[in-house]
Amino acid sequence: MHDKKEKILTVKNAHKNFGGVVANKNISLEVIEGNITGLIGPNGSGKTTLFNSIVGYHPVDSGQIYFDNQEISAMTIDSIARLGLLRTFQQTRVYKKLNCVDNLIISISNKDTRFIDIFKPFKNKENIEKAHDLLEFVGLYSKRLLFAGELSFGQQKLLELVMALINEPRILLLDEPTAGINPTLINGLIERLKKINENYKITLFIIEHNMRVIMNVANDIYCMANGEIIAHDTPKAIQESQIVRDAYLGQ
Amino acid sequence: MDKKYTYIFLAFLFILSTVAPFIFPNYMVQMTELLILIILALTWNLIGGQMGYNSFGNIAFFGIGMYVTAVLQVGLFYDVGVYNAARGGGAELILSEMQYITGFATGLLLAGFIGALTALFLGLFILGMRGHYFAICTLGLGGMFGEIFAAWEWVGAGSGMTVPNPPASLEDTGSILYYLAFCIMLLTLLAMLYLNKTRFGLSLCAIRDDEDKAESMGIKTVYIKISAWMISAFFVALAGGVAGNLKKFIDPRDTAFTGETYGIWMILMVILGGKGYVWGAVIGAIIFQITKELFWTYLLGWQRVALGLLILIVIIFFPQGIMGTLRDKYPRLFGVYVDDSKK
Amino acid sequence: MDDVDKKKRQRKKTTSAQKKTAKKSPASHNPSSFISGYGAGNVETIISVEEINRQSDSFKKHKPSKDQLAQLSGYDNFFMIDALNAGYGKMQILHDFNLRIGAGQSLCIIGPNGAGKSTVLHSIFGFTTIKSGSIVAQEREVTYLDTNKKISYVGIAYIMQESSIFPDMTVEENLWMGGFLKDNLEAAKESAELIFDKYPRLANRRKQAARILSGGEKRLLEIARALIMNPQILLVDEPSIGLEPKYINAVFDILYELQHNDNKTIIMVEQNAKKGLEFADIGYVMVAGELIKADKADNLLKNPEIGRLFLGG
Repeated sequence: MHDKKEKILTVKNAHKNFGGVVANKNISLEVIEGNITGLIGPNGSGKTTLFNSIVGYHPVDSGQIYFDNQEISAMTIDSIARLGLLRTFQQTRVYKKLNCVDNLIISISNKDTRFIDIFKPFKNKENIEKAHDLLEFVGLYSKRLLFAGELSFGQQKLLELVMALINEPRILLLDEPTAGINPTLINGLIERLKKINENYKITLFIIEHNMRVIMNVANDIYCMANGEIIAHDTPKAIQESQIVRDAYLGQ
Repeated sequence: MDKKYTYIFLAFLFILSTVAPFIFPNYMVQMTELLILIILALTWNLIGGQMGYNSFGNIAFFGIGMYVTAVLQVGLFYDVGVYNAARGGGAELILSEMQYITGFATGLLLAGFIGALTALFLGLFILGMRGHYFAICTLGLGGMFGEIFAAWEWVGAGSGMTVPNPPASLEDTGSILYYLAFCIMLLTLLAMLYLNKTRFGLSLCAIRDDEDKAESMGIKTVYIKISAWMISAFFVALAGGVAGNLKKFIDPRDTAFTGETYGIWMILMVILGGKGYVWGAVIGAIIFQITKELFWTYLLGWQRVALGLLILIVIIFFPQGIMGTLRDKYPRLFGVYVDDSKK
Repeated sequence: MDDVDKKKRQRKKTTSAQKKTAKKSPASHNPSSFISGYGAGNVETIISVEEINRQSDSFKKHKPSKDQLAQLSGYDNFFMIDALNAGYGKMQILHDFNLRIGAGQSLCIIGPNGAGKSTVLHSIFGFTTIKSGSIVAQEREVTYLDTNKKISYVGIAYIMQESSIFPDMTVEENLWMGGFLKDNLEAAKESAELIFDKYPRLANRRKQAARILSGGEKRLLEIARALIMNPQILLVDEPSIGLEPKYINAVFDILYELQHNDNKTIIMVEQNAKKGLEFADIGYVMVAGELIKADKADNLLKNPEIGRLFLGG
């Protein structure tokens, strides 16, 4: 049923070596617009390397990456981001010496603005209000004036997620979004992820080890092992797949 | 609450600077120098403090500003080569009031733009680099320009260049320079306060805290870094233009591109006041100038040792500077607190 | 309940032969689901952060008394925290926090993000500003002791949340680094050999750079490095974070062995709360810097309110 929809992200035969070690071997995958696609696989199987290649952090050695039919394999990180392809980091990254509100305000999308516009007043009521709303959602409203570096690890993780949301990307690559988040809030996050996916039509591509999360949100799941894609299927079929169990899930 | 303090500080600074010449008429030169130091601290804070790029090369724009202003002051009305060939002369160049003002004004304006253009040109080459690499690259900039100007016959080469004398009819040039420096300082300060409210200002902090993250969020980091350096250079060059007229004589190595005095001082003042705080730069500069003048007056011969000790003490005991230490002690004053009220 | 606890402890202390056949076998941490790691399950329970804070207010009225905590630890005063107020700089995070744990027991702290769970471990290890209160290990006050003294004299080790291995050093060198407080390198090397005997997985890679280890092996190396100083008390911050499902079980198995075979005392913070509680003897629930509930971990798992508010239903 997804076949009729547009592919928003396509990776074709991507290959990446690091000093002789093969990190990604002949990777081909497609993320369908409007879907939530999962990416699972053992530690060190090359998931984060693939993310890094997609966002332009280190270009692929060979192969192509297309975003919305435009080749982005050789584009710079910031120009890819302004196209509306955004990622979050596994090791949380926030602006540690800015307070939470400023962290969000600076993350507001600037894809349609001219460079000169960055010299206009920006910390206005509207933007602050936007930031407050999102901070309230993740329970950080009362801490909005603290430096982001003073928050706990989990809270920084939540902050990073809403920083991505306020940017209104078209596709969001999330690298273990729920690691270190408490279980109840994970449920809230899942609901929120589904909501942004439905309401704002943001496509999600998620690396996750928590099966409770990925099985409940994803439309389809890719499984990687040793730098290769070993399976692509629906969550249910992935759970039952013997290859995936052997390589990753265990038992 | 932050706004309230800003207005209070601004008003305080404005009143103090306006009446200071009447209270301390004997210290006009030192007070003008203080205003110049404040400009230097503010501009260095923009790139070294807020953006976290420790530039050791900003002194280059200071010297460039000095030379461009002086050259324009002469060149609009006289042949610069001939003027400088007369070696410390230039006595034959007598400017009218109108000529003096036009020359000075165009000189300053052009100095600002040439300073900014130099930053653009240098920035295209070295601002693609990150943090420490950038710092190392800027280390030689001041010296390099010093040598270039010291070898350039047209601007007086190693013997330097005399800034043309103001017309005798202008009696109190000390006050003119003071109030001119004051206006430029105020302009710089307001510009810095304004920039803090823009996406540009926030982007600088983002680059300082995590440049990779900033880039991955779509911020045009290289453009912003270059813009920041250009803005910084613009005001530094203005300060240089005034400083040249204050010193009256420009030596390429000892007054213009003087890495070991102004070049280092601008960094020290910011560290003293607290990196990244606009008002920290102002406070740092004020305290620095007062201490420096006291040392030079009472500890002559040992003044550099005393200054070195002061630096050590600041870095060991207040590594965050005055504002940073205050922020840790009284976070609420800086608007940093947990607000338990409901939205 | 009191008697049961005492018995449980005595059994642990006495027979070493029985330990291997202790009532919880490693594999049974997670008997219900077939997916290891986080387990499966639904995600229906959705409660906002504010709501959790509000609803847990009802627990605050019945905050556990020191006596209850002592009872949970079987009145073993091996390690205790009393009325601790601590935080970072001016910011206070822990309010009147108490903790009791006996020798060879394990305790898991759960709670929302920012509740101060990691701060408890930081305070024990000496990374926070302590305003008042006391921390006592083996009847010795250690509240303001330097961190290196805590490692070498008192025997407290801290396994951090973020990966803290030295990626460019070999596995062996990483282990030696764990013994830098020993009197000489030889002593550290000897301890390292003991560790290698214990964990052949590491021994096989001893000459390789630590960065090539898989995620699970890295975590194992971190644990092993902490063991070099032969600590009695292990502080473990989120052992399962960032690990693939298979490794999560492996890491918990290792911790299980350390507790039950080597009689180490383990204080753990874990967001994978179900897993943490299945592992631990004692469970603490923290909200906003306060301890609001303490019970046997099994009882917390069974408590529907706790399940709804803190375990994701």
